[in-house]
Amino acid sequence: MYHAQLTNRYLTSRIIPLIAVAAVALCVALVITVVSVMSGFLDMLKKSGRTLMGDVVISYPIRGIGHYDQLIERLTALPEVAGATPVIDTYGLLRMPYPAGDQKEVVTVQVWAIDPATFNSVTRFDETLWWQPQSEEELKGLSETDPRRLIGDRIFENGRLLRDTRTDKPGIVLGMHVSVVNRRQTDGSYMPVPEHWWMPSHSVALTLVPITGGGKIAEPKEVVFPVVNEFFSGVYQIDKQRVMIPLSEAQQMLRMNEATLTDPDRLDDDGRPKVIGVDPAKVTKILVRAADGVSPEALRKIVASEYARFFEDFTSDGTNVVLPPEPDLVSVLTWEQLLRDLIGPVEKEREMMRILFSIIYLVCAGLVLSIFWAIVYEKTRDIGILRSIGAPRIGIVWIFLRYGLVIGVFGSILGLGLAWMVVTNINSIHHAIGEDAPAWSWRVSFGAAAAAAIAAVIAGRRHRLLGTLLWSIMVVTLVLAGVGLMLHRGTLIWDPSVYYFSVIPNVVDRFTAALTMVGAVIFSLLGASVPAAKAADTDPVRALRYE
Amino acid sequence: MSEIVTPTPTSTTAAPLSCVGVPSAGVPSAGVPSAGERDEPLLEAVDVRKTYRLGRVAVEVLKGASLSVRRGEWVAILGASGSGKSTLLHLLGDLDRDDDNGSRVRHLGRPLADMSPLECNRYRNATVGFVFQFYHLLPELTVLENTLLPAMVGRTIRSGWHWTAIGAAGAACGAAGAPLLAASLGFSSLGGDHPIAAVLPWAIGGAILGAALALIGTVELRTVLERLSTRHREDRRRATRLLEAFGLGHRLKHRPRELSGGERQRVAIARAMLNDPEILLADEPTGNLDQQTGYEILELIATQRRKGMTIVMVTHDPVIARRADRIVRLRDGRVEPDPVT
Repeated sequence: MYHAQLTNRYLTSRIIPLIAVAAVALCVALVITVVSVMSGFLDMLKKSGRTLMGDVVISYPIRGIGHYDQLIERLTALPEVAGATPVIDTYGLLRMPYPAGDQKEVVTVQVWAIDPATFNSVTRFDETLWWQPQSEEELKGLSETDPRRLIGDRIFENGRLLRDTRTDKPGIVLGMHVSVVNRRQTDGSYMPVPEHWWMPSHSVALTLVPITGGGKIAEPKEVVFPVVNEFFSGVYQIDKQRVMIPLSEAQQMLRMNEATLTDPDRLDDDGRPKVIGVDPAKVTKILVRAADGVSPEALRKIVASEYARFFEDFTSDGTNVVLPPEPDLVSVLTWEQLLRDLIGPVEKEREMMRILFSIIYLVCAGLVLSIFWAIVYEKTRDIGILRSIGAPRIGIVWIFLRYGLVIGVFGSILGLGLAWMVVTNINSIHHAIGEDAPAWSWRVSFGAAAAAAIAAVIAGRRHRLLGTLLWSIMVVTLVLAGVGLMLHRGTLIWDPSVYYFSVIPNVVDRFTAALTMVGAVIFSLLGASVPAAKAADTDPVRALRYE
Repeated sequence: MSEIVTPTPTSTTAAPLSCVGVPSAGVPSAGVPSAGERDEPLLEAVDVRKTYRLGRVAVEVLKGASLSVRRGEWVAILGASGSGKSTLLHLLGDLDRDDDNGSRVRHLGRPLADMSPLECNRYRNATVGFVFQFYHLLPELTVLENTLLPAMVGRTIRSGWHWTAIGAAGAACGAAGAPLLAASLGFSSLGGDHPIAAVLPWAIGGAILGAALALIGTVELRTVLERLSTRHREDRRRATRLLEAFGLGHRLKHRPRELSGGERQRVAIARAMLNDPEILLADEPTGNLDQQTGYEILELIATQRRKGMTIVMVTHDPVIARRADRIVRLRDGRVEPDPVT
């Protein structure tokens, strides 16, 4: 009972505990902020990976998988499969509409040819389409030259179907960073600069290089597509180089569409090569989405065995001239396995950061230990008094442990609050750092420094050394801050080309937060335990004589 | 709890300071023990030796000091500075141990060395009450809280198993928590899809936190319950009455720094008296006070003596010592009976 009373009084009657709480809070905030950003980064990688490619991917690049429609039919009949979609994944050259003149910019792009209807159900591609019809209310807030005024009611539908529904021509959807004119705005939106290069009002020319049956390069094929929308996945590497076109167009350009198979050595009655069968249309990938409750790994095994059965059925049939690729040549991988090269190092890095930043706990414990050591030293006489009236050693220990506990708990809660504020506003903070400091910020800083200088002079005239010193430190700090702000020029810390994502993850990792808080409390207790034991061992007679 | 008699200025000033060896209060009160009881030694120090080690130098402060204090007696230990009188008082109050670890100091014939740590704490808390020269009040607590302290401490003195149980529960939480937490971290690295990974860290974290909070909560809840208890309210009333009797009724919520020296010493005496101890051990109780205030404090002690309390008082002032029933002199680490008493 006296423990609570003494702890409360010790906590509220001096500034040292506040310093200890602040120290613990800063340590906790630092760990939570850093690990949250890293965890968020990892989560974004995983989430975007799954969103963009489903759960399991069947791949056979270049030559492609024939009879894919039958395979998809078999796969979608499985209860573990929610959907499957064919994709051709290849590379091409994209001639952009800019700059003005004949010398147009050409960029290398990763082309994903998709079947819009099924692709949306597997990957949620439509959720990444950027340009949406503007409401009347939104249009009112836009300037006369704002390209969003050009957005028609059909733009979302056009993007979803990869088709200009007005002219019924196949269209192309570009990643948001494919066009260099798209600039990120302060509110996180994208706008073309200059505005007339708003891509959905232009067309681009895509060149693909087909591969012959013998594995040689055939004549490149160029097709002009109207840009029907742009997508923003959040993964910079994808938004920078991926474009989407309709599957049928790509199959034609790459000669992967259905064709009649002839034998040049055998002629029919008309003297033409004899038709021996049909070469089926092909795709290089099939993306499969798992039904609810089915893990990607479980689905991978099911899909792999289904593909083996599919191949076996074709082989045993005997009537098919062109067989699907052998199961050993086809890779069936989960999205995590496909992104392993990317996710693995980040996961390792995060764990490494967790371990390295655990050192902060020792700092926490050291801070509490040193502060408590000073408190025990100061409270030596109190300990003697308590022992003289019969307080047991464990009672003395509990006073200081309780003290440490309160500091740990309050510090952790404060640290969590601080981390939450930083993490949730991290993009705004980053944006502010990325720009020149506004003039008012350094003016305020210099103004405050001048006020502090006056206070320092007043304290000096009153012969108050501590006051003069503290105000002088304040003057130096504010002047340095002001100079720093005045000289600050925008610094880009989070470079999307390095970190894959255009935005910094801004969600507090709850697991890390809980772990860090518990760790801080435990280490605060550990830090307090040593001085507490010292206090309990204090000789009461010496303690009473202590002045 | 015996009745408290408020000291009056008349009795303080008119106290016969020259009366040596006779109870200064003159008329024994109803609480004064019988002759048979008084003959039985309540507190004894037999051939006590105490050596302090100052680095490599051993300083023998007590060299076979013997003292016997009977129930209801007021004994003054008189000696020069550094003669070991405070040390002897500390040994009698079990604040310190002699060279034989307390085997030569006896309470009702039982050596303090035979007492368990729990009994020792109870002895200091309820059997003896200390009054120090420099008051030794806790500056963060009010007058009333300082006075209440022995009662609050007394309620927390429990047997070792109690703390062992709490410690064991804490250790069990820690021992169970560490591997479980490690396991949960392992599961969390399996990935978000693993059904266990999503639930286990939170379940385990919650369990550990819950166990720790339950442990702390039990201790804290008992604190709250004790504060609300009838016993605490009684203690509070008793402390208030005591302080009012000592003329400090208007100072209950004041901090020690707001009091005069005399007032602080009266608070210290009230604190020593709260648990109604058998013996009051006073170490130079007037040593830090002016003469007038010192007389008042002495009168306060004399009042307790009249009610039958046993008092052992250390002083270097022969005039103060004469208020006691008996004076013993400490010289060169040994007790010499006062020739007058």
